[in-house]
Amino acid sequence: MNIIFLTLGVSIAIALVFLAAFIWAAGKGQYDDLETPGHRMLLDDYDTDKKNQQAKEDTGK
Amino acid sequence: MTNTTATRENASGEVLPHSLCLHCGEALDSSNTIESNGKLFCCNGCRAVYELLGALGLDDYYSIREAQNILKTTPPADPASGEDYGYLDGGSFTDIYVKEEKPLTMNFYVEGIECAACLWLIEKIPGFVPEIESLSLNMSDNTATVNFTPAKKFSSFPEAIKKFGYKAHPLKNDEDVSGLKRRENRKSLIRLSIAAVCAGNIMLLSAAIYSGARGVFEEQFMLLNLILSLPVITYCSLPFYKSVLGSVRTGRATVDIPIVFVIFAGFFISAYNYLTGSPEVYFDSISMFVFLLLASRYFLRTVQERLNDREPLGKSLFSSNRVLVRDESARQFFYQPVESLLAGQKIKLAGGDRFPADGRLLSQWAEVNLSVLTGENIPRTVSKGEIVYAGSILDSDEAVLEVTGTGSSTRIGKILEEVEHNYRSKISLSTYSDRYATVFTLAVGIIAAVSFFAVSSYYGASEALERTIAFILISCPCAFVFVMPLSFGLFLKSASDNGILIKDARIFDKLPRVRNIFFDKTGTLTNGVYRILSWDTDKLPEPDRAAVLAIERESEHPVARAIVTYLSGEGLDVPEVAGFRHLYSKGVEGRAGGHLYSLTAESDESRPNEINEIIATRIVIRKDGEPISEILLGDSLKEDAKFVVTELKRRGYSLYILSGDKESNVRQVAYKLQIPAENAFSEETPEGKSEIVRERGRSMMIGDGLNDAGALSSSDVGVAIQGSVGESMKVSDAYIIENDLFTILTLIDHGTVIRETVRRNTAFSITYNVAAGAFALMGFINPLAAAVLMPLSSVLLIASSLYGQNKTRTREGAARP
Repeated sequence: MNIIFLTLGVSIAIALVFLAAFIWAAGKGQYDDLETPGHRMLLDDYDTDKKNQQAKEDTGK
Repeated sequence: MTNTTATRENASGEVLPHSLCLHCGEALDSSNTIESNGKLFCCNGCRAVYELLGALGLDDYYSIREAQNILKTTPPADPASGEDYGYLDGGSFTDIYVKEEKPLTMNFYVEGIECAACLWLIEKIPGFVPEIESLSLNMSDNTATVNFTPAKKFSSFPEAIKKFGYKAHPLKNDEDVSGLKRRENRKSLIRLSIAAVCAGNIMLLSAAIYSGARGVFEEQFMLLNLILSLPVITYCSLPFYKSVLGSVRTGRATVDIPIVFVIFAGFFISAYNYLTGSPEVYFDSISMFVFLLLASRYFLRTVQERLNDREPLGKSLFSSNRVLVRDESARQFFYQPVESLLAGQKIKLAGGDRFPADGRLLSQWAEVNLSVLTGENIPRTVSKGEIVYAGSILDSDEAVLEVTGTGSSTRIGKILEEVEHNYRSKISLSTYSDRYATVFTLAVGIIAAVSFFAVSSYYGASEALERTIAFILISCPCAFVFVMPLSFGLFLKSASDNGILIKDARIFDKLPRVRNIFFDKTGTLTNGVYRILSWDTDKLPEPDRAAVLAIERESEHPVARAIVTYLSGEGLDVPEVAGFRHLYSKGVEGRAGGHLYSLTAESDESRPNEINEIIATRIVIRKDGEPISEILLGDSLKEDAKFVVTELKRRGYSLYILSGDKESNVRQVAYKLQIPAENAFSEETPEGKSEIVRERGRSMMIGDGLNDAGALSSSDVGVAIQGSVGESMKVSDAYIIENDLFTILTLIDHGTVIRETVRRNTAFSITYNVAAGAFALMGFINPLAAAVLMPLSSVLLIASSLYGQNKTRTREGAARP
């Protein structure tokens, strides 16, 4: 049954890893603005479309 | 682009092809259409933006906007007009605005951001403005952080953004409160996450113990629980300790005192029991308690902050940044930042400018709009040597004055300081939960002491200690203290859905006590728009109308602006004006089409008029000295003013009008709304308004102007309405987004409902605590029971709050005029 202590240790260690990741992210300010990045992500398409088009035109020449 | 218009037309089926402005989506008719290369726009501003976007290859903006289903935007101002930002590049301004030297960063508040298309467009700016390195826009608070190249051309951002029809205001270093808020926010998020991890794991281990883990497991799990609860009672609980220290210093009880008491008692008794091998440990209850508490407070804070961000940045009266100051040695006027203005300097202002400081007039005379002090837009005439006050607007041509006071030593500066002071002392008053907690803590303390001795005489001291601790833990007002923020948060949200932004949940504490309601007149009960009420233009021949238009165009006076607006639509052929001048204290005159015209204000005379109209001024037009026409100008009551006032009276409130306006105008309003004449105060100074409100007490003040700020802050509940100046919004407890008075009734209804909810929660909390406390003293409560009962009581209270929330929803269906 002593395996319990190992699994317990592992589970708490994993929890701490995630906690550390969360603290790091919060400290970096990733939760400061929950609105803009969502929009920004959708806008990427417009720029890539344009670049692709540009690339096509360039190769066409 | 044609696609966009086509789909819109098909959808509605009625609109003619190409009848929407390509940029802003405004419907077009013959009067407002501008054509350019076969494309139609509503104004030059829209055309310029459209063409600019096309030229820069940014016309994707329109497809993004369409994808977001935004068909209309606010039309931009003509890019050619508007503020000149060149002053930002001057060395003396950099200290005030530059946020960081490396990289060179300046923050701006951007007006006019509506959707993702704006985000896309604005973040494209560094691509074609070489002076800008990079920039990022935050849509939740409409601020842009802009990094500039070492060329230090700070004006490049506002100039670039102006071309797209947005407006940027540079934020001073000290105005960057959002940075502070952000750091605070991150900290509480981290606290919350640590508490969550610890409490979660403690619960897991405790579940094992409760379900029968014994021996070495029980011992080791308890040790782990003890270790895991250490961060919870130290780092995570720091805010409670700080608040208790603060309340010890000020001698005021807060709800955090019993919280800290419970945390300490629970932890140390559990630790002691663990070390002595007794099974009575409460680590699980304690850490869960801290976690729920932090979570509910975090929730309330985020709701509150989101609402505060939605509050439009009030146009501060002191938003102007520079002023022409005379340099005696160079015998010339130079621009200087307003902040560095000194008493004794001579400054020059142009028509339409706002006085940045108090000063003595050096010009012969000037028309000055004192709305900042009176709330009224009709200017007064000031002669040479008289004092003009900061915040007033110059309505005549140029004026020169000698500065007598700047910043906080101006009259308005003093008023604002007073206002801030009032407001701060108001928000530090104790809250309902605090008062409840005080009584509660006392009661629990006394009962615990008495019962300890009572129980120990029967069962011995150690059993008595066990039971007393269980009693204290179980009867802590924990459910109450974290459900209160939660239910306040829910109410703030539902109020905001109804167009009321509430700054501080404590307003609900005070709303039910209100008996006297004070209204500002201009802009609150009335529309605050000074316009022509009647003018028989048909009897006035066209050349005369054209001459009047030509002359009034020269003036900044509100009367002139009203007349110009009235006549502009007619397409008159406007003649040249010669010899235009402002007449001292009366009006204007000028020569046009070979005749001398004058427009002067004559004495008021009351006459029967339309039900909602408030006549303020009678203008007589004279042609070569002969009166040829007369104009009545004034304001009109808001559509729902009468309804709301009647309803409030029916509910038994005493209503008052506080106005800085002339007696005759206030009397007309009071008469029309059937407010007793003795309750209508006219020609009040800002100081006077605030005094009246304070004297009456149990008050709610509704206003918009800077002259109402004092009254707003000294009333129990200050409500700023749409269109308020920034200073008034800052010191009021609630802000109404929509331009109607009906929302006042909604606000009062909300107050009633939350009071019911709070009462229900209190009653429940007391019943629960008495019952559970009794059980604890009788020895029936063990750690497992505590771990079950504490969350259970919270769930019941949350349900009760949600029930109250639903009730507001149904109430909103109530009749509306």
